[in-house]
Amino acid sequence: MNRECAGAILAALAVVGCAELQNLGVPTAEQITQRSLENLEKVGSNAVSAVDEGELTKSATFSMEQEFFLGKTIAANVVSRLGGAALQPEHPAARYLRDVGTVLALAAAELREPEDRPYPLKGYRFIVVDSPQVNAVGMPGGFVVVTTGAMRASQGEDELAAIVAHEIAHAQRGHAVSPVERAREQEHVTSTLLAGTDDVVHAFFGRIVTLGADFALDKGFGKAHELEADALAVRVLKDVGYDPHALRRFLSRLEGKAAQGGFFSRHPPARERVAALAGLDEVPVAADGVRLRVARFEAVTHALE
Amino acid sequence: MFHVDQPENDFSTLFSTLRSEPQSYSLGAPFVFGCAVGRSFYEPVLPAGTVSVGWSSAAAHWLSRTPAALTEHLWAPTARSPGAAPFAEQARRDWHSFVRLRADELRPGEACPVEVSAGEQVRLVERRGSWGRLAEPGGGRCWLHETAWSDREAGELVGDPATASQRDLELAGRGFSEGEERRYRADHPDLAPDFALVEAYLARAPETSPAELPRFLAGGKLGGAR
Repeated sequence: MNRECAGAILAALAVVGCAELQNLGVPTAEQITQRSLENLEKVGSNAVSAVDEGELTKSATFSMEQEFFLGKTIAANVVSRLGGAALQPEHPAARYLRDVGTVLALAAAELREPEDRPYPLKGYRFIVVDSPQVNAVGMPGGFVVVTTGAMRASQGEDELAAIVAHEIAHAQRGHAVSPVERAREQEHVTSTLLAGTDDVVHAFFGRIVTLGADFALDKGFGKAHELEADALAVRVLKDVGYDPHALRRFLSRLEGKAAQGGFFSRHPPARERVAALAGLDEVPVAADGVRLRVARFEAVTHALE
Repeated sequence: MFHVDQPENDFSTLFSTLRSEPQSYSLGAPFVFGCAVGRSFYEPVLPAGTVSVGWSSAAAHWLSRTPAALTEHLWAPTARSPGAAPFAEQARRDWHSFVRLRADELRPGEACPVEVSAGEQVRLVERRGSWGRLAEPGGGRCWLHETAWSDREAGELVGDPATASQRDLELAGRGFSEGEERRYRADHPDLAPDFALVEAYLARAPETSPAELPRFLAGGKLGGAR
């Protein structure tokens, strides 16, 4: 992104001094770091306790361990369908996405509702796939894939964060696992009793992996869930100190791109999502922070060229 | 949902548990209704051809009657003395009755897992995966999961897994674990590079640590001011 773009972003924002964020309910960097410390202690055991306490029945009936193995297998399928050329975890772009995603995931967990899925068993994994398609995919088990096309299409870190926050919202709200759950529950309310044979379980697992990848990549999670994910994403952005209007700005700019597939083909029309986000209050964003984030975003995306 | 036990059973405790236990199936499922049948399972307990899913847990070892006084042992299923022979014969008869009655009550093609120690009298005529087809009872129509005779977990599928219905596919999903991922990968060798990549991220790209976060937050002026 060039300097003109960065300037356009700044012009579009209501900018304030950093000190004023103190009064907006934005947690400090120390508080955000503390979230990470506390979360490290809980990850894994929180998923186990969720099963023990019967919390999962509120959102889905897969255990967190099952969701992990299911999500891992779906993620491998999604990477393959996107061309299979993912960046190595040490690539600067992958490292950068991990930083952005971690802050957002911790913020989303702070906003967790009782019916949400617990924090993923092994935490989130943010995977960068080298593909020109503008796409991002949230899957069960905390796997989030973002294409280099989506990174290039973003104008600054705040827009990239908006895309990632939307996908985290799908994972946390249980949208990513709900199509699979629905498939199972349609016929059988009392499905808790059978263990099944090895062959039957095998066939079932293969079928739900295909189903999960189809929904994540092509079919989408339905209009209501997409709008719900947008709404949570905006709250998450605001909580961390990102510009909450970034999602609306990204969607407005790329409106009409549904024919290109990816992120836009499976969602409600961008204009509907933009309209739903139109009621946002103006939120001041620190100008010096935006400049810094634009600069480091440009450095990373430049490395993708 | 029908619960079956003898008429003397304390059904009030059952219904209290259904109402208050956090993991009860009746919570969060307002249109699933718990009912009770006060009758021995050695009698018909539900109309023929009406049961979608059966389940018997640690109960089918109880005999319909005491055939003789057992003085040498406390536990008839493992008794080997001559005095235990009437119990073995009674158990054989009762098991036949139990399977026949449940087979009548199940809808065609449906299943009733039975958690019970099978003892050492199991004779299989066929193995398929973890399942064995019993010579008796059922005349070769009953399958028993190996966990039943290895005495770890128990379960029996009254029916043939080769003809499992779509419904069984759905139900069986509850049981999958890491082993299923391994089998899936064996079936899809073309996905090996993609699995390797996902595993590289799992191993080498955990979420940013608390030690690293402050630098990232400060570098982008994220978070409110102190």
